[in-house]
Amino acid sequence: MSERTRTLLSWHLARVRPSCLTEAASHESPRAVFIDADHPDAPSVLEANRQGECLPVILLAVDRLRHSALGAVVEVLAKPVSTDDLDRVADRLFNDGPAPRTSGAGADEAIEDPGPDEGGEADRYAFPRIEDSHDDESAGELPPSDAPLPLPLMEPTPRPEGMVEEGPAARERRQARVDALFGREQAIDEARRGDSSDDTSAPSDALYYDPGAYLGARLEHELQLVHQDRRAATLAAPRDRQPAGGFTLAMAHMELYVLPGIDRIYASSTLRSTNTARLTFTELEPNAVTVTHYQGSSMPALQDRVRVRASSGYTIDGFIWLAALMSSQGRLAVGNDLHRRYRLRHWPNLTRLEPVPTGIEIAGCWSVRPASIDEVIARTGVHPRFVHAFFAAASALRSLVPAEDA
Amino acid sequence: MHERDPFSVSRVLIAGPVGVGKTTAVQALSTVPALQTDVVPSDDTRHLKSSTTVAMDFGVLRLDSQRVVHLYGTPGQRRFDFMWEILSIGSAGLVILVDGSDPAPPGTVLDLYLAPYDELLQNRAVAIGVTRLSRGGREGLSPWREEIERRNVLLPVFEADPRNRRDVERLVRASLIAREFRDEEPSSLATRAALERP
Repeated sequence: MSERTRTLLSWHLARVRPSCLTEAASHESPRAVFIDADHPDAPSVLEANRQGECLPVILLAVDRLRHSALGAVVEVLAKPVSTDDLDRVADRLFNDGPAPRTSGAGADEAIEDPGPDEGGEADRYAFPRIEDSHDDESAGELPPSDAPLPLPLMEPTPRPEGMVEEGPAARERRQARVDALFGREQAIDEARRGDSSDDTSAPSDALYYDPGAYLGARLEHELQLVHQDRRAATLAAPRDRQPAGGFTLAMAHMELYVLPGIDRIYASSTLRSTNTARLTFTELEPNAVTVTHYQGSSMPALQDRVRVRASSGYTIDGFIWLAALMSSQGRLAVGNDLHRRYRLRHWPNLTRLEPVPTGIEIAGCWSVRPASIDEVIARTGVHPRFVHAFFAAASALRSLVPAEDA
Repeated sequence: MHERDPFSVSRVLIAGPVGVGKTTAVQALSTVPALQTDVVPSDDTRHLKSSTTVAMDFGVLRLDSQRVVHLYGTPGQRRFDFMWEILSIGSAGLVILVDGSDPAPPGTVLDLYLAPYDELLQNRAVAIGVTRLSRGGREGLSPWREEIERRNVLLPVFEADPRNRRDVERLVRASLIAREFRDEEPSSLATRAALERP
């Protein structure tokens, strides 16, 4: 951390006297103004900051009984801000306030401990010894989650700031991934133009698809059967704990193991591969999928197969969302009306679902008021293929429903 | 969306109970080394963690070339609640991190941590991140979603790992998004949409 930051922190913490200050910062340029809200100069320093550089303010005011100056401080903070220069703020902080006292010239050296706090005004703002801790305690605060996270299919890893721009090959790969999920931009543009100019009684084939012909519909049908079985079993023997059923969906290239009782779907091959994902979510031929249900005494057999063969896992919502995106590929389900209004019942769990570019903007627009697909496209300025795909996936999870169903 | 200022700085608060991961979230997200004001706890918090935030954490997130977010992690302990209200002044968004493994009823937790931020709640500038869900997906989020629905407001409720930069960034973006669309009148939107069409 910079000497300035260290000094200001010390100034404040003189009252607290921590045995150790966890400080991961290494600021060599000022990023923020630290203010002790109880210091008599706090309001004027804040005012100077407000009229000058207007750095973010970190209020150090931990003593509940001594924050009488907070009222004045808040008044200053609440005023509108402008940007000018940092020097005036720094001058006030370092020249008008109590002079910082350090033990050495180097910015990284510890600040001299002035001895016990006598409680007087001068000692109140004296400097304690600050020990830098390199232990990253907070990083270990959280125990690892036991629940397996659904694996996003093709999300590119975000690049840390300052990394070299991606090359043409990487850009091409990324574009191919986006096209596989959301369709090609030009194709959807052409389909929409065709749809708006043609007779609307004959919708453009390129813009619409039949969701019933894809894996997602088959999965939902089988899930409904399991839920019905469970309801029936519960009604028959309400006091008994009903064993959760499950089923497999076997295709030529892979198998899916569906365990509704624990909200998981496992796949025998990774769906991170674009080719496998395409094969899995392409329009199904008749008899392309074999379904086997398991219940009661046969369930351990299914669990064993999951243990031996599963290579990736999803929540059921995560898989349904992904299947809907891959079926849609930027198109709309037959029967959807671009002008019918829909409302968002709840936000999809966007941290654990396959990302849709600008998905937060699309959901945010729908969250404010009911809107049609075309209205959302106009309000957000997002390309229709992403809005169509989001619509398909959110509808599959019942997050989006027709506004009149409210 | 609204025309944005050429360069804008927004303030987003990260609030929630002690030990839920607010400091970790600010650290994970900040594009500059995060500043912390952690000390050894002097109260019961010492049984939960070895250091605790007494004033606030601060970090900076650059959302894109035009938008910068200043992140303020609030102290979790109730005795510092006076800081919550101070920090809420001028804030554009609020991320509340809650512990999904906490047996306390979601309503009680949200009552406490939403109360100082009523204006942000009314403006739908709040996103809820549920951490440590033993069972993720729909089932784990349902109690929180239901509690939000009970308040007649539609807020984003996401699973979140405070250590995961992407999770926290999505929560921050979601907390800021409603204001982009809130003030637009349908009539002006229709006009603009007509103008923008090729």
